[in-house]
Amino acid sequence: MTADALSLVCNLGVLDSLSEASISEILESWNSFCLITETIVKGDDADLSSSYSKFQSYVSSLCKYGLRSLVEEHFLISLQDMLEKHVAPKFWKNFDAYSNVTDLEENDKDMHEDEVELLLCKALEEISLEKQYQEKYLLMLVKSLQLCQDSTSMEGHPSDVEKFFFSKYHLIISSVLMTTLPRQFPEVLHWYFKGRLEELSTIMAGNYEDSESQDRIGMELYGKGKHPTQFGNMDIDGSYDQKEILENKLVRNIGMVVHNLRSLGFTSMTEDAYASAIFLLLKAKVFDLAGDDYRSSVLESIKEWIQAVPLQFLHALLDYLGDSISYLSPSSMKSPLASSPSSCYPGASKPSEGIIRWQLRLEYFAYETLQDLRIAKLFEIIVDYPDSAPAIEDLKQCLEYTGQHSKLVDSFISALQYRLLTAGASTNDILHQYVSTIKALRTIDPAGVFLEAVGEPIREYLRGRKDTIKCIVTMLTDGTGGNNNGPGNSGDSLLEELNRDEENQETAGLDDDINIDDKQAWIDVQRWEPDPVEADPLKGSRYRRKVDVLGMIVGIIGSKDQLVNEYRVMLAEKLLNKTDYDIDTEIRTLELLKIHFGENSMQKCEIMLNDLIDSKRTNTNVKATINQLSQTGAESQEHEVSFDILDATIISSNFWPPIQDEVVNIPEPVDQLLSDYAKRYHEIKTPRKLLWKKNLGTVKLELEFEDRTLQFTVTPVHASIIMQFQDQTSWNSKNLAAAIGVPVDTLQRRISFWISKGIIAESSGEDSNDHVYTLVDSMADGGKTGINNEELVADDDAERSVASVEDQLRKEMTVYEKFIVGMLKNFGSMALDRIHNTLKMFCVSDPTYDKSLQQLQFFLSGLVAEEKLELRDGMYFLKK
Amino acid sequence: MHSIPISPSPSSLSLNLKSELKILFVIYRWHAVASWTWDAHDETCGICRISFDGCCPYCKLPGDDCPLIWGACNHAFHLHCILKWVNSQTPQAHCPMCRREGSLKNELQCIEALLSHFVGSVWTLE
Repeated sequence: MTADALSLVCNLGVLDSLSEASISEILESWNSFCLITETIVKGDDADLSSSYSKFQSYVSSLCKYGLRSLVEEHFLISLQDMLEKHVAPKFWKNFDAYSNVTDLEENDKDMHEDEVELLLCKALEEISLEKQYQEKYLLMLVKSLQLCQDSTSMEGHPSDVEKFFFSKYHLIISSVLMTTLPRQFPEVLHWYFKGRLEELSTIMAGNYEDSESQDRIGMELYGKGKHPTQFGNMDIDGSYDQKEILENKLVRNIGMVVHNLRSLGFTSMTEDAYASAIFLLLKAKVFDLAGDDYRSSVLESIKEWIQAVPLQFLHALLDYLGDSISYLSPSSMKSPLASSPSSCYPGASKPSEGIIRWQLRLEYFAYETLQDLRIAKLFEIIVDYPDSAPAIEDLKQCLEYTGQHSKLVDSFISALQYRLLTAGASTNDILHQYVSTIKALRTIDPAGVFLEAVGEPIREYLRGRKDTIKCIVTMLTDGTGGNNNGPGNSGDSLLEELNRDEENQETAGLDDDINIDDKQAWIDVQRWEPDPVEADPLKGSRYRRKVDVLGMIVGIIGSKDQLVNEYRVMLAEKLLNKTDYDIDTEIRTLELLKIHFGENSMQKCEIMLNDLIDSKRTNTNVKATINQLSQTGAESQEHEVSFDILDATIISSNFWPPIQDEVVNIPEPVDQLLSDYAKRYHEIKTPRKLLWKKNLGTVKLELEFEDRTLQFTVTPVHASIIMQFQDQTSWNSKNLAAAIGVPVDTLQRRISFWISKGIIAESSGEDSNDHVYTLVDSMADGGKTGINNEELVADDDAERSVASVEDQLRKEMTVYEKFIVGMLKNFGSMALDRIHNTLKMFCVSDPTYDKSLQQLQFFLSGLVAEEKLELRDGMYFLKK
Repeated sequence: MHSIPISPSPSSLSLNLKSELKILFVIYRWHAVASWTWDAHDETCGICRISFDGCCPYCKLPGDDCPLIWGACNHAFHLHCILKWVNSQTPQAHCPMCRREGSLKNELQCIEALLSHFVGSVWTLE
């Protein structure tokens, strides 16, 4: 060390002019200075004051020769040396035990926490003590320097000098510690804060509940007049006090640790550590509160918790560090803490900027955590949508804060792809989910921008399903939505949606009127907001202003015509199978649909309903006059009574979907009734006449056995079949089919109904194609059905009274088949588009080509299936 | 459970079985379906080319609200269609199909007077 110092001296060229004596004096003082510095810094010297005077004299003599900078440097270097060699290793040695913390298991960490706390405190205290000593030595140097400064009158203010040295010293100590920082130290700090915070939060939570309950008691005792928080302050009982003390102590300990750490230059590391601990705690709290319960809003309680726990902690901490006076006087400590957790900012009337910043940070973090949590579970949330509205509301607020809508869209779409849009999901379920999605996202984003993005995959998928339209119509018309055990009862809500729309349109109409007013227009203009950034510019913004569920549903199908058509078929089916004329619900639905789809498109459906109303009137009329006639005339007694059993629905066939016509011989007496009825109708309504659709309608009949009675509601064909058995108990299939007037295979299909009921038994006849049906006389073997009054309208596909939309389309399109074939003959091959356009161009009259591209495609794929055409690379060819 | 008469009620059509099998078939409601049609010889109205079973372009509901009318020549039209035709003619209006003439004005005044309770009646062209 001395050699080093000498070499430094030799470098100074100015010393050339010095005399021998002065050189020897300098050398001597230098050597002694070095020695004494060493002893001082090591802290070995017991008698500090005696060495101080010597030290001072050496310093001043060296200064006299202008070697002040040398002195300063040497002293600091030796301090640094000391730190490096002894203090820092000693400090770090405390944490050697945790050198492999990162590998430790979670459980182990918990076990070590208390240890860590003690260790950290101890180590920090030790090093702080060391630091204090060193600062004392530094002060010695500063004082000695100041003394000689007075004599040599150098520039600079004494306090500046002191400040300079201390800052330099702090720099040294933090750099020494930083460079020797072991890997595990940040982790250790993190543990420490985590442990402390958890402890604190349990205390706080206790306090929080405590004060709340006290508030409540206070309220009950003193009535409503006074503000509840007052009581929280006033009647502090023993335990409350104790808790507060405990808490103060804890905060003080933490404060001390933070303070020590800061003084060692770990400011940012410390902040990181406690910030991450707080965030961790907050995250755990959010997860704890939010969980899997979507039926309640958690945002408020999270905010309250942020106020109650982390902010109070931070407040206390900042108080402690920021101004030491508040630490010394306990009264100022007490008030901001537990006493009024319900107040907006903990205690202080003017929260410091730091606290506000922290609050914003914490709230943002809470919003983001909750948002992520909710987005991840959005699918489930939407599944129980009407119940999970609070969760949706929370999510909406979070998103307003964080603006991460695109995250929602991405995550939700992938959830949909994975969970909903699979072959296993029924169309009904998908539609229900779609409706719920629309409703839920409507809350989050009224402009419907994100809804559009989310809805697109669902729509795309639903378009690929055959029964989509049918399901939608069922949902629209049936109160139950066709699927009782499905999630929610969205069938109801779709009808509701129709209702809602009705109201909307009324108000929309009003709006339009007001818009004429210039003032209102101006207000509207001012209220205009640009579309969100995520909006697709290709789609008009005006269009998406109103998110209506029906519109989105119709959007799946593409055109409302298809929907209306399907509705018509469904309505026809329903009306034809009615046993009475009660159509109130249908009228209501139709009125609502008319509002939405326009009167013109629902015209035919209206006529259908009108037919029912007319039928009721005509039916009464006809029957009344027939009875009159038969009373006066000479009609047979049998007919007179039996007219009461007959009701008729008279339809305007042009406006109904094509009806499945099938010949069937109904029982003779009934047939007689029908022709009488028709005759009477013709008399009343000349020149109109009736054409019976004998295969349609419903028959209620009763089979009375010796011991029991069975009731059935069946189609006329079924009734005709069973009635044949009254004269002859056993039929072979050919004869029976001839008697009823239906083909054998139809008969076999229909009769299976009675076989399944155990009324008729089937046995094979003489040749393999022939079956013999016998009426089961003893019900012993049919006993399994028991007393049976099942009402049944058999409704497999073959037995529908109305042709399905697909059949209709096929029938309508056959007209164009020869056009298409001719075209392909001429052109060789054509794409779908071109066929469509050519048809549109040439088939302008009788019948006009008015089909959509999809319909054409459907028809062509039918032709391909029939092997009339071929489809290769999107081009259609004639099959050779 | 429906309570149903064991013995055939007077309002039921009962069909008794032969005595050896004591099963009684009772139909107590037959709800039939029929479609109505105008008993005209033609399919479509010669004026509007819409089928008779539909309604004329001015109507929404077919049937009673949009009746047909027959001329002496036995040509049928939607009432509303032929009225429009006749009103647009000179005093000598004739059937649009066969051009058969007649002193139509007076007749039509009568018809118009009767129209309020006129349903599917016969329009005579003298």
